[in-house]
Amino acid sequence: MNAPAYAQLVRQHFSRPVGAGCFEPGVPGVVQGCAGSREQGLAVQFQCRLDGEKILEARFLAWGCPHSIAGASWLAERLAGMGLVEAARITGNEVSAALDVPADKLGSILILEDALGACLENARQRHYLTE
Amino acid sequence: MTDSSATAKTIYLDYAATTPVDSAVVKVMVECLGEDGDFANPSSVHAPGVAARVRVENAREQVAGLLGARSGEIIFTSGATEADNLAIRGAGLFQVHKGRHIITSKSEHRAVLDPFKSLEKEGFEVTWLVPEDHGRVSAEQLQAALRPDTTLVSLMHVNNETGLVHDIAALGQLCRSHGVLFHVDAAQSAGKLPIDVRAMQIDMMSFSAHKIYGPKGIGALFVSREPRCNLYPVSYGGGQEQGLRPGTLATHQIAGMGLAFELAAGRMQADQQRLHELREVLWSGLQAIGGVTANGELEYSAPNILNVSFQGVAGESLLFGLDGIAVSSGSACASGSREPSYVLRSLGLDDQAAQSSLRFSLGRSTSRDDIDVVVSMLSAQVRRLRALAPDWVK
Repeated sequence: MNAPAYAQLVRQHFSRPVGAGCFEPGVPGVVQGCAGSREQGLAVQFQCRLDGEKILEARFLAWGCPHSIAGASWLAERLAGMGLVEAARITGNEVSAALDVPADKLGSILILEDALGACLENARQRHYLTE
Repeated sequence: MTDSSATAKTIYLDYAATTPVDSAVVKVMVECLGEDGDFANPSSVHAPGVAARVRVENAREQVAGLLGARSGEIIFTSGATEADNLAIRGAGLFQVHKGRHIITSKSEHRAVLDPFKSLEKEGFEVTWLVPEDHGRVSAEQLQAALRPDTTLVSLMHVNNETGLVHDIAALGQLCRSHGVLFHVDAAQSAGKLPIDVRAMQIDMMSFSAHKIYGPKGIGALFVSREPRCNLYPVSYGGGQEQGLRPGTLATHQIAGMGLAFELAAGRMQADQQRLHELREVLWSGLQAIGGVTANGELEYSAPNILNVSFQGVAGESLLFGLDGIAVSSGSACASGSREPSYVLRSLGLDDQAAQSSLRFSLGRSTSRDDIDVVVSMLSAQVRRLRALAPDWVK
């Protein structure tokens, strides 16, 4: 069974992920957050390169199912150019709605949300986010 | 991953799931369907019925011929699953006065596990062996499980997921010496490995046609007459197939199965030699990727099956990235679920290793070019997915 039902957007982001990888050490303005584990079925790391409260670029690393990798890519694309306050309002529900994620994968999407939250918390701790 | 619309031709490496029907088999089946063919009911005594009956009995001879059996020992069923049910429930219930202890292995196909579970619910005591000898049940392990009230042992010839081969002759000899009936699910081995039901001391053996280029929906159960193996039917009706499997015989399916078995007998040795060589090429190519493990030692497995775990990648993503290649994953495919394979778990793999496994099963149309393409695609996908993974899960 090679091709269960995956939305076209999942196929696109899985095959050509946006923001895959991580920033070189020493790049200024980079914050990051991680969540998940192999046992949970998804492990993900988000990095955002900031200019003040603005996200210039987001990158991710992910181990998991196609929905998870596509979700991380979708988020990375969405985050670019966004303010930190606006980014903090993104929820897993938005990701799952955009990618038509089936109910049995919603746990993975919540891990994505946690990783983004950890990334933003890192920004807050480093005083990029003042709210 | 490429869009499926852009895929020129699917490379099919899932022959253990099913095979295409041989063109000669299709031809003989069609001859049994139309108004000018042998379409009549084989149980009818008029001339068209007799012609259909001749087709059926010819097929019975062809199937028996592959096994070293007599034609009267072949009972046609709807497939190996029904044959397994008939053997396990039929023999288990027939011998209930002798004992209620029956034995099988945790790595059997669901078609065996579930009839055992049904008997367990009805008061039978089941010993569920965990294969200890390189993923197989050894004669010593079985010996230790046998009891005076044991009446039935069921173990598969070739495991459908790993390809591991049981030493059926040794297990059969042990069962026969203890007066215990021995049933073997041979869905994956018929036409691929030599079978001699007499030498292997088998009492019942299940088969399906669609694993060896015959049609789906037809199978058979070998039931030994010497020594005599008795069993109850699991369904009742018109008395066909010695009363063990009532219902109008599907002449076209049966004729197709017969020819498929005869064709397999003629080419088995050459096919398996070729597939063995191709599997070696595949395994060598996969090993070059690094971080791959064969699930089941190849020296103990059938030459057409290779089950491999890929470290550092999630199985679903690996499978999804292989558009254009048809293989099976280490998840339970029957239900469409993503649960890790219980067969691989029984070999000691953890959930992640089981879920990151693929089963490659090669067949008559598999070419060296196919193998090269598959290795190349897999290599690219595994490297891509590993590069995407955070360091702490690699």
